[in-house]
Amino acid sequence: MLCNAYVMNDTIRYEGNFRNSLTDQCKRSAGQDPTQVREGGKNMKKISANGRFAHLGVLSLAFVLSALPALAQEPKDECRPTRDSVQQAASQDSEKKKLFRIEIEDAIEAELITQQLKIKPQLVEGRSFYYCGGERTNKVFAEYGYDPTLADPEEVFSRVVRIARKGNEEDLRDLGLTLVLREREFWVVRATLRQLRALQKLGYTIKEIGRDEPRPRQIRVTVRNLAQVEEAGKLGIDIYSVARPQKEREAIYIYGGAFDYAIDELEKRGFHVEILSGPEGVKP
Amino acid sequence: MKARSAAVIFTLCLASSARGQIDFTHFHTPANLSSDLSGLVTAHPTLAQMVTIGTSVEGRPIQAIKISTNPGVDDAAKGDVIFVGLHHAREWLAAEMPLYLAEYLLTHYSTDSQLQTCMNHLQIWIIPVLNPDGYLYTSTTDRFWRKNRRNNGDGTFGVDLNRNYSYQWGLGTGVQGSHYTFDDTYIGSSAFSEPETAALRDFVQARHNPRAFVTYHTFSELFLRPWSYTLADPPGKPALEFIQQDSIQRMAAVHGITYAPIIGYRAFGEATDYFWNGLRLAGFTPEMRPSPTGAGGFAPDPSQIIPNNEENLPAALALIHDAGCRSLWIKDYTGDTGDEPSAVWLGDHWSHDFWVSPDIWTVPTTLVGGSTVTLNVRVHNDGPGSKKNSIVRAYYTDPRISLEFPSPASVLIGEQTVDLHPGNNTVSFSWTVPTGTNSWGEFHWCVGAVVIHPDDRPLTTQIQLSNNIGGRNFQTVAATAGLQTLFVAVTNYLDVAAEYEIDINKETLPRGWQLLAPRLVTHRKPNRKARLLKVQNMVLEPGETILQPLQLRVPASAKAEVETVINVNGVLKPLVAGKRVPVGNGYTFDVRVKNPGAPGHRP
Repeated sequence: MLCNAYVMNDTIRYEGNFRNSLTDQCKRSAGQDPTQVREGGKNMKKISANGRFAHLGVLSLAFVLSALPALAQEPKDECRPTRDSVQQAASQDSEKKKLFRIEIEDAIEAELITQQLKIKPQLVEGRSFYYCGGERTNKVFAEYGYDPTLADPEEVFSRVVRIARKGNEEDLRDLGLTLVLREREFWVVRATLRQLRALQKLGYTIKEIGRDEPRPRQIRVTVRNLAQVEEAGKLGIDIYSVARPQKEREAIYIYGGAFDYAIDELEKRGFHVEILSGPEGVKP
Repeated sequence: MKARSAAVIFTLCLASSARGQIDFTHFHTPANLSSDLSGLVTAHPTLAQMVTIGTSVEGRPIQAIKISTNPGVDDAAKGDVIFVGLHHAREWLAAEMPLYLAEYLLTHYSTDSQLQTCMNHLQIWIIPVLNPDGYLYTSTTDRFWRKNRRNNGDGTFGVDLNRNYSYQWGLGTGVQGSHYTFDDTYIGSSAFSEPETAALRDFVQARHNPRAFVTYHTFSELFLRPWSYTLADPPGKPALEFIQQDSIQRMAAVHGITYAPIIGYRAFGEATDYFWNGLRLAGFTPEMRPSPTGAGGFAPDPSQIIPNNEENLPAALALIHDAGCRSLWIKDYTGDTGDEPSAVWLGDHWSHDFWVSPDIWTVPTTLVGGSTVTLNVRVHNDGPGSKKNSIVRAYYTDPRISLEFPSPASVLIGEQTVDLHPGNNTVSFSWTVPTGTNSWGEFHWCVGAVVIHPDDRPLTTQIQLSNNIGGRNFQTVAATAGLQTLFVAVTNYLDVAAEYEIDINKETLPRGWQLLAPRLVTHRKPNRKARLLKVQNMVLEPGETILQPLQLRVPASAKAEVETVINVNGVLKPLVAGKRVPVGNGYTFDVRVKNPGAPGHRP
């Protein structure tokens, strides 16, 4: 019952093509999370198996309840490709809204549009201001000298999903996906819906990540000086602390969090990266 | 330096005696932090009030404690100082410090007369936790969670609140501000997409007279000032830099830890950059304990809380002192009583011409290129004692509207270190007036003076906003009967495009004289920001200077040697959303009629 409720609330359907993640999520909520192992790197280390998910089974009820406020503020609009077609049809008003793009100078201009024209962006990325609108909205923009163009939500919005591992990572690289986490049974990737479709055509099984939002791996990077600390920081490691070990005075340890795409980059640049078990932190 | 030492010792004594009722030997939980905050208000009902500035993305209140002698009244006559904690959920020390500050101020108000005097002129707003959802999450689920708890709709959660402000938003990558939703530095779907940052923006913009802003973070023992996004100098750098250096010294005197003075932290869309750019609100970011190589990182041992609070306290108290207490000051105009601001923009003109300081004058009065004159600066000391080793600096520039002291265009005439005694003090400089003319062919210079003492620091470089700064234009114009043209220069020193407005004070014009400011014709297509704001006036891009001609018609009946003063005031209003804080100043032309009927000339 609890598991059903959990999945009903959480699953986002993609045109009926993606498998429902009920089974995996139920397993996970019962504490049967697959062991996480990062593979593929030279410095592969074993990761604590009883890390992040073990507590979820015990506290599944609390988890479901605490999830409700978050679900309540999940983005709701008809321009994002995150709702199934039935829901989309039900929410359409007299003006059919689509995703459009205008070019702006910077974030201040985006803020002015929101303030003066009362049009909120769906996404601002670089010089692109994406909004959900129709003829009326576009007319307003045109009056101010903008040139709205139709945008493809499947290319604009990204998802973070799990895909079952298949072969090497060449397909991911070819499609330009960001490899967020590399687990034993699956990869966590960031991709547009169009990229995901392409992946699906290649035979990959795609699942929602559900409640298991990706968290950075806890890592230790060994460097020789503070300049290297700064260099490592620029490569995507979220530095928690930097410590000089007492015995090896020539080495500095950086402790931090990083996703696999950043770890790959660190290793490519010659940094020695060790994967640690999850942070002790505060237990629920 | 003795004065500074004395100030430090004084502060140290205060810090060591700051032992209130709140337990800082352990980290607070979100619940008991909130109850301790409420307890402070209950214990000090005449001084404190709880205010909710907005709600988080999950609907939790963002609480502030307001400290003021009349906490129930939003007093426009008082300055506002704002302290914010916990943009980032895991940085728990950043919630402890603001709470400690609130307790310190409330428990010392009645016993520390100097603090009381400063607080009487201020509304102090302390927001210990800007990110209540993330804070709760770190205490229940993930100690190292950084962001808020926004459901990004793509399977991930959280936006980095200190990458979500609009100035320079989205221009970085990685830790500077990531576009990946799963990253700890995710910038959000747009600037101010998060209710927490929007609430703080709206709250600060609603303040009548914001003077200083501090946002606490951990860790690395750094003391940051704008800009964060670049290593380039911001406008007003000298004021920010002095406070940064002085704060570091005060903090180091407590437990011997010297924070590093950092700029260009390479964070885009950061809070202090936003408030400095838009409001010229002096903002600082202490990245508190531990050091980069110290133990604990984002989860230091609780034994660090008290020393961390103690060493950050003097910097906070000094800002409160600067914002609330006046001792050294220079008049901006004859009737100036030292209020900050000394003038406000009333929609089409300044309430006072604040660039006509009677405390700045030359002997002789007329400036001739190449001549050496004595430049005098009168500094008032309202304090009970001498301000030893005060620094008085004098600058000159090509006069411009939108001038600050110092500004990128200003040239140092001289600097003197002097003891300023109670009452009036005159400091004199020898100034060789530049040979030739200013950049548009006139013997017209603007002089600014700044007085600084470690116990009395300007929080800005704008004349009207700081009583530590005075300015005066010097120009004598020889006029003849008929039509002649004067020029006013306008420079946009801001980092954003700005609308320029000009106003002529015609009340001082003698009967029969006419002065017109013809509207400048621009062939430039108005930019979209101007169109969105329905701006009709000229827009200047950053760094741009224009010459505004003024057509002066002197009647044939004007008598020789008649003198009159013409004041022109102008303003630049940045093209930004929300409160558009104008900056600017004005020109004073001292017009002397020469040889009526002859063609006009300049001295």
